[in-house]
Amino acid sequence: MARRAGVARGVGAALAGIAGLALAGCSSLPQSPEPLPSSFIPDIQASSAAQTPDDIVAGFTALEREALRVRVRTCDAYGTGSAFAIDDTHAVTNRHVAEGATDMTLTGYDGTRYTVKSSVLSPDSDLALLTIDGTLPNISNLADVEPSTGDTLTIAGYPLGEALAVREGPYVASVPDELDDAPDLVYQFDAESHPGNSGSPVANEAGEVVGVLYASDDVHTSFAVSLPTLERFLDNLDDAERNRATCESQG
Amino acid sequence: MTADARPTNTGPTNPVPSNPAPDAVGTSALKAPRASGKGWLVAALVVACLAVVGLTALTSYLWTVHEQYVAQNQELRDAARELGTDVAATRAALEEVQADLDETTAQLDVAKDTINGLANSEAQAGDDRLALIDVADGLQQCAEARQDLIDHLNESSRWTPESLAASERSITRYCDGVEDAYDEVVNG
Repeated sequence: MARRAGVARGVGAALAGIAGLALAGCSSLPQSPEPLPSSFIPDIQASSAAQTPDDIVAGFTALEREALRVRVRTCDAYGTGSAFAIDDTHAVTNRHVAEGATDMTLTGYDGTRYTVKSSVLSPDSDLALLTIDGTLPNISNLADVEPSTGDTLTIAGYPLGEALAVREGPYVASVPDELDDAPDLVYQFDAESHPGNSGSPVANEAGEVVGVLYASDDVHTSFAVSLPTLERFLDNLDDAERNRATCESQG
Repeated sequence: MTADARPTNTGPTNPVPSNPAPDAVGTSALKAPRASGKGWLVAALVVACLAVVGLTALTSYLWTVHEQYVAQNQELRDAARELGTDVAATRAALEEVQADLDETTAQLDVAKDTINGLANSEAQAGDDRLALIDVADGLQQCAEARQDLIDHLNESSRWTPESLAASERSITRYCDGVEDAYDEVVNG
């Protein structure tokens, strides 16, 4: 009887061992495949960068649309310059463009003309504010901060009184105004500009105006009236000079 | 018959092995090897049967899983083929849209240049018009001045020859300036 019991225990142990091995082996057996998803196509939203920029109209950027051509007649000469609107009836240009004008006309990028009713001149910087008869549709935004060295600055204007042109280059530094000997520093940057560009808006990469172009070496270096100077001029228009020109008869 | 009942003799006899004396341990020891062999045989059979059943179950399971993977593989291939077809169609459509976009962009660039050129032409024409108006005003003033000079010459007795000559020089200088301005406007 004792031997039978031993056999039984042996068989039991063997079966238990087999069962144990079987259970242990089951964990390494391949499982059934997981069910497939209903769709393999992820839900991806279109990125905003792929959308058409809002500021392009008829192929013109906002800065291009904001740039205005200035035609000036003085008592003894004609001239051209550039300007930009700061609200729907006022535009900024250079003092040396507007000074002595007996007649001024602005032209937009699409050829729309605006007649200047009156103008005032900055007493201490190369800036002038023109008041037009009508409504300017494309208004520039002034930047909140000045440019930093290396920032790309863009000029939009009418070099030599010809077609609208855009040039850009890096901001170099604030330097003394050696041309007009004005008290404020001016911006120097590497971009081509020519006579006729005077009064052009100088914009940062966001398209916000940071200065007003007023001089260049006619090759690749340009100078602009700085943002603080422009803001001070606009904040103190009561101090500005009326731009009156009286021509003597030449008959 | 027991050991005590066996006959005995005194002479030499062949030794006859006598049966061992019965006892409990001796009886069990003779029967145990047969029972133990049977037990192991049964146990082996049981284990073998269980192994066969287990292997059969395992084979069946693996076959079922294999079939499931084969079916899903086919399903994935079908889905991949369908997605591939969609991707090809989408790429073709995208290329078409890109071509349209390129053409539209090119047309927009041309339109922009045209607008810019027309605006510039109009501005230049405005400049010329303004200058021509001024030249026309100058020519009119020139003509009026010369008419005044003719009137003065008709009444030359009222004017000294020097003053008439000075007026003529002044008017001629002015009219020459107007003519120069006209030439500059017309010929650039």
